[in-house]
Amino acid sequence: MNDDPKLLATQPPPAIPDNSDLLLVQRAVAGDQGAFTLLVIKYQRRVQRLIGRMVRDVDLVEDIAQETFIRAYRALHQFRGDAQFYTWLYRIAVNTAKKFLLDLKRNPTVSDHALKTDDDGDETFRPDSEPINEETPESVLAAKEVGLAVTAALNALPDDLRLALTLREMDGMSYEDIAEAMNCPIGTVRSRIFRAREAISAKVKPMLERQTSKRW
Amino acid sequence: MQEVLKNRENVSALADGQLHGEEFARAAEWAARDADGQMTWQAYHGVGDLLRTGEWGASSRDAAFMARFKVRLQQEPLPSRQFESPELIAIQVIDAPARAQKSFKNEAANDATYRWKRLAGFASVLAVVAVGFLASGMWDGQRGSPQLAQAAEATIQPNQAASGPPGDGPNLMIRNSELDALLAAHRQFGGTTAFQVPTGFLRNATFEGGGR
Repeated sequence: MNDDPKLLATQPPPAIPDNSDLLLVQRAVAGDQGAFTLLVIKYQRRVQRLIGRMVRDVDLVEDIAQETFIRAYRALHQFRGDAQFYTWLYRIAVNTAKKFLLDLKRNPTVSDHALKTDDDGDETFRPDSEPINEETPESVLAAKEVGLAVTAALNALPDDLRLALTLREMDGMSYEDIAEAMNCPIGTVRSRIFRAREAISAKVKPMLERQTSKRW
Repeated sequence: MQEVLKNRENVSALADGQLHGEEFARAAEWAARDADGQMTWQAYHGVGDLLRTGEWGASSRDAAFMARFKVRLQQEPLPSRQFESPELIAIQVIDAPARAQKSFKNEAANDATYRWKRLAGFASVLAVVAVGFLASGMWDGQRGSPQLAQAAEATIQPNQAASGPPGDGPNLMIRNSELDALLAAHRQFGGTTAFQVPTGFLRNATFEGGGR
């Protein structure tokens, strides 16, 4: 198990500040589980990547991720919106993973292979790199193909669409700030970001459908 | 097709926190319930993740993950209702009655002790009121002693004016023979309690009035 305090204490990646997460939380608390499902879809990858830094086994990563989201749902009424939703979720994920790992360590039947080691000499432990998972080579290749397709589609976008999207996604700028930077109305910003996403998604969705035989 | 594109544009704005009120509710509903809506939501966020991290995180296991999660989620009771906002007005909650039946289990952890604490608090208030009432009664009783003395003094004067017709003069007291007898007995037993024990520690309420 990786108890590296630096890793565990790592702050979550900066999230784009907006109130949509809080509004979705409010809908979920009011009884709309679909709203919480949207949050799960949004943060599933990030949570799994986070847990993957602590746990090697991909099945275990998914189990812990499932438990994380269930715990978050149960505690949803306690989320006040004082901090970003992912910050709050991040702590739940870390605590859930630590508890799982403590329970597993007590189980002699679980092999250490399923757990990350904190041996700095272990060549497989690379704190600054992407987490290692045990997906099949085909799925890894598929993910790389999607990544390449997205990058190609992004580069093929008209400049104004690409700029609007990158300012939003990579710089975390608000629509108002983007409108000021690009000297255009906010409605135009909204339209450009949508058209950029739609153009890229048009390349990605067929690949997503091939990856997944059954949706939801 | 136009409607689909409009819905997707709303999902894009939803992902960026740009929607409010009715528009937010409709977009969230479509993204959560419609297959194309969910794929659009996933794709848009996947694009953002890729741009920020350089990694396309979606995998072939995502569908199975979400299917398993939805089954678990449906078994969970509703979280406590603590938020009210305009966006909730347009919510159409599916199976709300069924889920509401589960919500009764979702009590706060300290519900049982809270009820007892509330009862204890109420009892404390009653006790304070009762003590205050008794204290005020005793105070009135003590204040009554000087009043009795004053009344006795007042009776001295009416004694002198007793012969006068009733209603004449300010210090006139109406005589009551039974009361006189009681007062006389009180003087007799003044200084003792009903149990005939010394009452040195008690304040005597006796008084010496003038003879009649």
